[in-house]
Amino acid sequence: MQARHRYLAILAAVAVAILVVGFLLRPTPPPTPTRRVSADVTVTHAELDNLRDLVQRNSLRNVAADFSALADRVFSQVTTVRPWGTGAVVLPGGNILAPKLMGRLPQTIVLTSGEGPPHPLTTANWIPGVPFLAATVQDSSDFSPATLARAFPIQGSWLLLVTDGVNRPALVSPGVFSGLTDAHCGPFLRRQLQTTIPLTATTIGAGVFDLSGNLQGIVAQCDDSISILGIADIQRALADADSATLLVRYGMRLSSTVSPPGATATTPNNVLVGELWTGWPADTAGLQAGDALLSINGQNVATIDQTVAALSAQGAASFRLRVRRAQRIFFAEMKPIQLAAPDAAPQNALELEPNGMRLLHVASGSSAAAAGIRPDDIVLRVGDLPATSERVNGVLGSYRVSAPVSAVIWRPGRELLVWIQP
Amino acid sequence: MNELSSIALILLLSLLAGHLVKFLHIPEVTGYIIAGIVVGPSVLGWINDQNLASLSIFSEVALALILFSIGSIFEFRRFREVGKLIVIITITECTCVLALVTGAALYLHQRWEIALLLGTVAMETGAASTLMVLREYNAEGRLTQVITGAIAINNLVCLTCFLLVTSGLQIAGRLGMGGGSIYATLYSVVWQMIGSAALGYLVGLLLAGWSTRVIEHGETLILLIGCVLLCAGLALFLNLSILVVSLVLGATTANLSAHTGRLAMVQSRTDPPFYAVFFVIAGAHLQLGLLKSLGLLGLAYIVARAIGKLIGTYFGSRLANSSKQVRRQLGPAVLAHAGLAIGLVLSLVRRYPQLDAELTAVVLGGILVFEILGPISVRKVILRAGESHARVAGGMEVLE
Repeated sequence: MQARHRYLAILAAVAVAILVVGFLLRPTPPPTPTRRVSADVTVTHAELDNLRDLVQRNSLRNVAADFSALADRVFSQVTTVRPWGTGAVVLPGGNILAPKLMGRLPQTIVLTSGEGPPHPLTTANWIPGVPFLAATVQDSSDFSPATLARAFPIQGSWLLLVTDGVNRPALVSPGVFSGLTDAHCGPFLRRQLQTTIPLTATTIGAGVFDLSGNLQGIVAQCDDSISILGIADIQRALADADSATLLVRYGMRLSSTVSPPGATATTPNNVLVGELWTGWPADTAGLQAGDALLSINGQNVATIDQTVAALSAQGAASFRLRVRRAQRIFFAEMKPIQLAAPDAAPQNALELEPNGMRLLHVASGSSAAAAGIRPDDIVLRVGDLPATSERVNGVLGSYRVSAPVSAVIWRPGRELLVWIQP
Repeated sequence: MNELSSIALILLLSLLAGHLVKFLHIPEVTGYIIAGIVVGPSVLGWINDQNLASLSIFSEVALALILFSIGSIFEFRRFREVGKLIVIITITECTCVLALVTGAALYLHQRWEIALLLGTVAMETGAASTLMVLREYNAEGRLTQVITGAIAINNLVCLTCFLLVTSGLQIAGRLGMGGGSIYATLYSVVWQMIGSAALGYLVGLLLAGWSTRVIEHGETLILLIGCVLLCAGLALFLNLSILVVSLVLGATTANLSAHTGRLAMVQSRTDPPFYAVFFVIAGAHLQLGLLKSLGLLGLAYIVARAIGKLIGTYFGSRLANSSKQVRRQLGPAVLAHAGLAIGLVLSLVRRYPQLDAELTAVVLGGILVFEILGPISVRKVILRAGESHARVAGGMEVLE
């Protein structure tokens, strides 16, 4: 019994010793992270620690050399968008992501890779709400596709912003990844990458790469702010929009008919036009909601997927659609949106701007002048349609319009809707 | 609502829920949890987040009491009978769950460190809810003994693995910023295990020694609650694991005190209000909205964990040559998932907020499902095994 008590007492003494020694050896708690504001960027303690670690492991010269080597490697994956000179990134498969500015597309897009020739854009997926344009060019072999990151970077790791430019030097800007926040950038996108990289209008469209050279995100303009959107979210947004609708290129949404009993999945004539946007190609081609699409360029279409695939064919100037409306079958010619060539704008009256057409001259006493439109205003839309040189000339260029027409114009600092009366 | 009103509401609602669920033939604990979900912020909002924060002290005390009772399974005499069996079963079961959940998360393109953390947390078996069902049905027998032991060992294994995995990932720099130095990481592992055991032993020694001096029911109760609170309070102060401290306290008392039975009986007559508050609060913390955001990963977590538990206990039992009854019925009895898992995830997310998006919704969503289904499953197992012994209404309990 006494021996038992002795063991218990020894164990108790050991336990006390463990607690005392453990308490005395406890590590000092890490400092509470605080934010310190410098002239350019906000740096957290975590980021400073990370930088200190990096500098301890490598000299600053080596760090700079690492970034330069990475920049050399990823430069070929960044192309230049003209006319505004921001960057674009080529995805595996040849699709090119170019940013929208102020939520709009330019009238003309030409892509340039390095010293190579400029490539005019052949097709473009314009997705409402998504701050990107998914574009293709006729020959995409001149562009190197980026390797896409499969996961978000670890907090505190370095990212490198790389962009190319026609009218300005190329830009390489490193920064530390400090986390993700919810983005309210269009209806689809959810997360944006927070970094210490300074973002300005000149970085829109730039690729943001991790130190392994994988594309982590692209700089985009979301409403009034500029953010880095994660590549996975961008792709998801584009895929969602592309698979769900054909609004993108033709202003047309499709729906399936309810198959009659006994019908198989390949029963023809079950693709209906569900919704049309006025003035867009499907509407211009004379289609109406409820029309059934039977074939496209001679190829029968029985499902929405087949229809989307047929209408996504590259390089087609127009599509010949066989359509059934009630008991009548007819053909309709539908042309994809053609982007105007840069020299299409009459230089004496209009000037091409990234987001529209700048008016150089407004005839005094004309309908446009009477509506309050002034020289140097930028026309963004005519009616419901994007402002092309043809449309602007057709409406605002004539002295008197034949019917009331609306236009959205940009005057520095604000956007105005004006009604031009006959 | 102030704290006193919310405690009153919780107690009365839990009583009402306990009555109601009897008609549905489901355990009272499930009723408490559902009542908590209903009055909590995610449905009616009668108990808000502020109330929950101020009532968290009750949860700590209840958890310490629950683990104190589980610790008695380590009484040398009892553990010698089933110790080897439950260690083999638990290790097999934990390995299966870890492998399946980690594999499923990797298959769904999660980062490997996230997959590993999910697998580690999924190993945990909800001690509190399972034990409550065993107590409600006055379960006694071989299977009950194995279940209790398996839960105790499971929680220790889960905590140890979690500490090792997070430390390993931290040292390898895979968790990003937010942790401390390598020394702080290793210290935390050693301190949480050895320091906690030392504290539990010391307070257990105090309880066992003093229990010989007190005879009255009231005095025994004061001693017991005092020691449990001392453990919980010191554990919080010294940053130790309440789980390990309380388990070791229970084990030490069971082995050293000559009055274990009296302590257990005093505890069983006193702690129901604590448990009711504990489970209603636990329910109130669960957010129904999580079910919507579970996604494919959440579903995979639930399915892989359930399969891992069932397969793991089955093969573990075969490996340990246990009876057919244990082999077939232990799996469904260890499905519950709460307490420790919530604590582990929240502690991790507090240190590494960047993991919040990837871990919290999945684990808490899984807990919501298992915490409702788990106790129902335990009840079925106990009834089927014939180990439920109805309490004698109005029966006299005699103090030693």
